[in-house]
Amino acid sequence: MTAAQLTAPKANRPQRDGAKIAMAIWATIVFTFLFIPILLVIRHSFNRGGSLIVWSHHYSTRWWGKLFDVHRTWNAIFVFLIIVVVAWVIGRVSGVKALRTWSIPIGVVLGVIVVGERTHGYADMFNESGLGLALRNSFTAAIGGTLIAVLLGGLAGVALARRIGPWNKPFMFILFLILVTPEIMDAIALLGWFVGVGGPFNHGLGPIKDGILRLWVGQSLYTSALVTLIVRARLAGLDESLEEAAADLGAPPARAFRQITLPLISSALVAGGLLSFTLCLDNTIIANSVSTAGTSTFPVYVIGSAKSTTKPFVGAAAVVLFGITVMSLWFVYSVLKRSGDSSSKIASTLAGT
Amino acid sequence: MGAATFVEGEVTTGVALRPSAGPPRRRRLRAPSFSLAIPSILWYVFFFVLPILLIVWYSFGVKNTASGTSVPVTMTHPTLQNYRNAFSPTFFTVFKSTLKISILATTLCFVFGFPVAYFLVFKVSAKWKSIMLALVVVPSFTSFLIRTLAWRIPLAANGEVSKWLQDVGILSGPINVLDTRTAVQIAIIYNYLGFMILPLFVALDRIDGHMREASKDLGANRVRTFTQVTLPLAGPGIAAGVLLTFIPMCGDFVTATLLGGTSGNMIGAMIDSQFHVGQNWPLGSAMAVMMIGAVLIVLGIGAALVFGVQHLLRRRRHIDIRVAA
Repeated sequence: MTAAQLTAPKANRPQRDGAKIAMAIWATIVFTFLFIPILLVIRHSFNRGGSLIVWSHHYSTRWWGKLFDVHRTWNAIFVFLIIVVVAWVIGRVSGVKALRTWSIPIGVVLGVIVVGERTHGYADMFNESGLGLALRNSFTAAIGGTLIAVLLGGLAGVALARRIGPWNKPFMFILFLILVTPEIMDAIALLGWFVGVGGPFNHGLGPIKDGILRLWVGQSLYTSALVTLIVRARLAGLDESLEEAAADLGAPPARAFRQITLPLISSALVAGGLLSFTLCLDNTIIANSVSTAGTSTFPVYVIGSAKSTTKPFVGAAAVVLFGITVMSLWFVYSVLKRSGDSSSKIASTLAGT
Repeated sequence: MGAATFVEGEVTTGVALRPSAGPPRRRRLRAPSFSLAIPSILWYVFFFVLPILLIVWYSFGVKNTASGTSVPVTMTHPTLQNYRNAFSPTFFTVFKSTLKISILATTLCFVFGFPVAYFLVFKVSAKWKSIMLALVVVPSFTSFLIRTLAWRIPLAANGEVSKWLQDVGILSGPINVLDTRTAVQIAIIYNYLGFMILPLFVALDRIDGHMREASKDLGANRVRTFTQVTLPLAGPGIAAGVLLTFIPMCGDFVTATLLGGTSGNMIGAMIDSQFHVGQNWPLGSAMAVMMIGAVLIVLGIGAALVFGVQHLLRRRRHIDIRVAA
């Protein structure tokens, strides 16, 4: 009897599933809906006319040329790729395990530095200097915000996962508040705070401009909370026996942290960092509120441009950022997948739940 | 000694059992762990808690744009006048329309998103699941601003969509939604749909498949399995989805700024303009505090409704079982 009942639902499965077909059609409509504006922006970045919004019915790459100095940009990309490939090859050939694992990140960092040196901080790559500056500010802000987020989030995530104490609940509550507070509240609060506190936030810190410092702080709030949760989730699934074993074998806490805990959370740090990076690049509301003249990021530039006619090269820049975001999301996915997460766990990481 | 260590190692394999590990070692291991959170705590106190308290404080201040002051607020005579101004008809209509837009958009995000999440979890193979999840994630995490601005293309009165709709005969004149509330409504649903689908997907995916099978084995049809097993188990995900969409919508100022014109204004844009255009920080602060209050009230009412309905349903079901027994 049980056998019959167990097989019964399976026998029903192959039947034509009307609900499934309806849902498939609906999902297709929703996916199309989600991609319509992106596809339109890609098309309009090749607009021959003078506006991003009004389609001239003619394709042209002239706005891409207006934004990028084509020759220098290709040159920069070429140099960058060569450095990464050389680093990768050296890592492969050397036979040192650490070099092998880290060859590509080291290559990327070296490439970024070398190309930056050659192009006067990437300024040479752009013909349209205002938008070029905004893009460079976006990256400066996103890299700083991400580094702060990874540092704070990594440490706090370990503390939350490994210590069961009275501080956990209040701390989790603050994290929750940070994640759900409407961004406009953070934006105006930070503006008031920076102007009131002054100091480096009004005069800069050495070579770092005040607006960049403000952006780093503003963009690190949400992202550090997110990294904290990701790291905590990663460690919660692993028991403490490895760290205890290290302590038993006489490792001081710092060494146990470096040799045991850090490798355990490395995938969470990489994934959280990349996710932070994409969120920082995209951050509009806080950036619009706290950035100062000369430190506007790309979204701030776009808001400004939307007051008059938005030129198609804004679309070209957006397409480049879109490509970068897709790549880093793909890295997030593959890093998490390799560390054994299911697609559901990855989705939960992305949603911050 | 060696044996004792071994036993403790055994005990600590489960997370729940951890407190039973020996106290001396725990102290040695965890004392540094707690200090690891100190940078974050300081950071959040200094850049999150205090700034927001400052805004609450400013909301009782008086606007002062005299030159020489870095902060355009005088705090010598705290007043409630800003709150009275924020309740004045001009601003209060924007409050109401923001809440209307956000509530409708959250509801529609749920209605549109739930079938997609359900489809991804229960009706698709593992490989397609990842691909389709990417189709949700990629647009949701890229250039929020540009995607919003891009809605001006299909919604334009002289755009291709408008012409096509007129040619086909669906519309008699050009579509006229740009710079109105309708445009904001459409784009805001679009902007947050992905953030509704993701948590719904997670919640549905976590449901133990055996529960649904048990429900079917006990004779429930698909509709009953859905309403009495799947939907209640997805509750936390629905709550997360609502939080992740409704709250940012209420504070959103990008969509209203780019698409709303004068008639489609929202609180977020209004607060922002008090700070950056009007230089009336106290009024902007009061609006921000009221916005948080309004969000909490709406969420409270929503939660109360859900709990009430659940309570009623549970009572009814309880009686059912008794009768059957």
